[in-house]
Amino acid sequence: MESSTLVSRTPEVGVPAARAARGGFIGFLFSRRRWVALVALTIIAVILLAAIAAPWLFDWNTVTRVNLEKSLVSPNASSWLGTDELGRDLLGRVIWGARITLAVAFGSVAIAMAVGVALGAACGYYSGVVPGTIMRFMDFMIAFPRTLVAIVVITVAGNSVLSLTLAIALSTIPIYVRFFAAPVKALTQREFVQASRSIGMSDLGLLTTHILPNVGSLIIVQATVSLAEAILIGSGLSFLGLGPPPPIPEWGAMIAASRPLLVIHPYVLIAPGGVLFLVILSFNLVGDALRDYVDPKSRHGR
Amino acid sequence: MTATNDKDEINLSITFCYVRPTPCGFALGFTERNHRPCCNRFATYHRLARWFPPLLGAVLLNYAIRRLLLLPPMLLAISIAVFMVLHFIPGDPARLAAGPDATEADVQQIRANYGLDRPLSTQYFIYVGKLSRGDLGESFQTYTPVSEGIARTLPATLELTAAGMLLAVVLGVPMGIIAAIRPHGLIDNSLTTLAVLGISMPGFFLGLLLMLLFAATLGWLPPDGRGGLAHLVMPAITLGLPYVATFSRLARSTMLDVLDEDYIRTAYAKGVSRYKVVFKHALSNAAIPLVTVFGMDFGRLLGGAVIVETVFAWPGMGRYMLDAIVARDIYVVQGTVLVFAALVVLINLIVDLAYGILDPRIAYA
Repeated sequence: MESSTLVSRTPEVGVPAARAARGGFIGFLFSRRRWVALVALTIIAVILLAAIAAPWLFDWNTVTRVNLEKSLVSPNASSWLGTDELGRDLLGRVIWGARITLAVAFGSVAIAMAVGVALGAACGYYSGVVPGTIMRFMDFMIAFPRTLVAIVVITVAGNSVLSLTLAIALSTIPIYVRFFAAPVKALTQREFVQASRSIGMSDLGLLTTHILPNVGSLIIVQATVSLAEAILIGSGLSFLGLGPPPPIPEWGAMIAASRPLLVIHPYVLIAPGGVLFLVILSFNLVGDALRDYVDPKSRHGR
Repeated sequence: MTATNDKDEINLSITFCYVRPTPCGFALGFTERNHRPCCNRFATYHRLARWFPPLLGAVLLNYAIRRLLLLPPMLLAISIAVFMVLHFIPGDPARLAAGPDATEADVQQIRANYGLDRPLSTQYFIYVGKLSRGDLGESFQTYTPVSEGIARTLPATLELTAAGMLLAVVLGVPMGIIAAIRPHGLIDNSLTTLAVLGISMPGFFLGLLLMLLFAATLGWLPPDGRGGLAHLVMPAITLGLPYVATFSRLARSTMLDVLDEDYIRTAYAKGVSRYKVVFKHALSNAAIPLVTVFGMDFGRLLGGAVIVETVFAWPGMGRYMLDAIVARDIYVVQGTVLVFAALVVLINLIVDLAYGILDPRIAYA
């Protein structure tokens, strides 16, 4: 592939996306009858609200205190999803787990975005030995399994919510740098950027007023899809026992704990696993819909 | 589709590493595969090789040897990275090795035995010296050589990864081709839905669900462990499913791109049958991006194998590494990470070679 085809493959940037409907993204979903994406958006909203409201819905104590008399109760009126092997309410743990899982996901994507976009924009904007070397190094990093990179980071940083967030962020940065360098490079060659440069605009001014706003839609789409991936990797690491230490409810760790009880009490698996699957699916579906909204060309199918 | 779009952004430009002769020996160079200069002479070789196949072998062999020569410097770079990172692991390895009730003198003795009291650079050179003899050190826990542990667990991991990859290619690529023949048809739309579900499914959740259904409830398959083919079915499906999804999406989009090209219309106009156009004319060009992604996804699959091995108690290298991480057994962690990295580099080498066979425009410069 020539570099020109690489540029043409990136979504058309710089042209304000044709807004098909009034009312922004949700209006777009209604007018296009994208019911599945609407449902997905609703699911994300409900889980986000539940995660924010967790301290008012369930006491931290009821979620972490061991109560063996009530262990492995099937779903009933008082505990809607039943209880786990230590008698803790599963619904409460799933909701508190959402708080932690989503905090890790949002935190890691925010860190990775901040570093990745800045580095990607710099590497796309400038050309020379240093950006070139950074890009080569990023390519090298991308070839390595993300899970493995994250595992090594956690091994060094220890088990905690913060190190999990950092591990996911670090393993994501190379992908963002690679992803944003190409459209930024394409933008720097556009007439309006060249024109601004010719009237003496500084590099930083160009980047912040002309280039970054034009990749803004790309950032939003990529962030949504990355959230799904961050949740997937984060819960996978907790499943391996590399997440936050035990009493903290985390979906991956809850699934790992359900393994020995799988046959006698499958609710312990299905409650956190089902929610996890639903959340990742919702983020992927919303990300797809956002891409169609932002980039009209992709609506026709690729 | 989510994964494919950002994928081809990334995949079309994997680092291509080569040795560059300089006045004072050799230096490592990196370039992008898609920026590699095209060499007309090679195209001539390729054209000749069509009539005289042994020549192709000779050209490829030359290239393969040159690429293989790169392997040691790359591994050396990786070993430095791994060594440095693991040096920062909190906790004194000598104390861990000595056990909880060792005296201070014992700990000092062990530190001296392992060379942990030397400066970092000396430690690294000792480490590399041992590495070149195939000695990866020994485990603090079991006092067995790490290379022995890797030799024991590596075949299991390779078996699992190969099975997952095979599943992804054998199911995913034909699915994508079928979807591309009639875009937005019933098959295409249902495959799109399946792909989103496949990408969103966490491997460990799927694995446990499969275990619940096929092992615990139906009793058709053994729940865990390694053994015959029956043991391999569930882990391979768990590992391969997301890649069936990504491969089918990618195969679909590249096939759609290729089927749009003029030469396909020409082939139809000549009266070539649809089957032949799709599977011969189009597929041979669509295969090139697929091979790249194959190389990329092999690495990801290795990462995924760590999780799948944990779910199914598969005695592979991922498990070996995780146990070592929990016990802070640094030589085992070092060795396994190094082998994982070497595997990724090796697979990318093989992919590069496959590239040359598939695309005569690629120059082995």
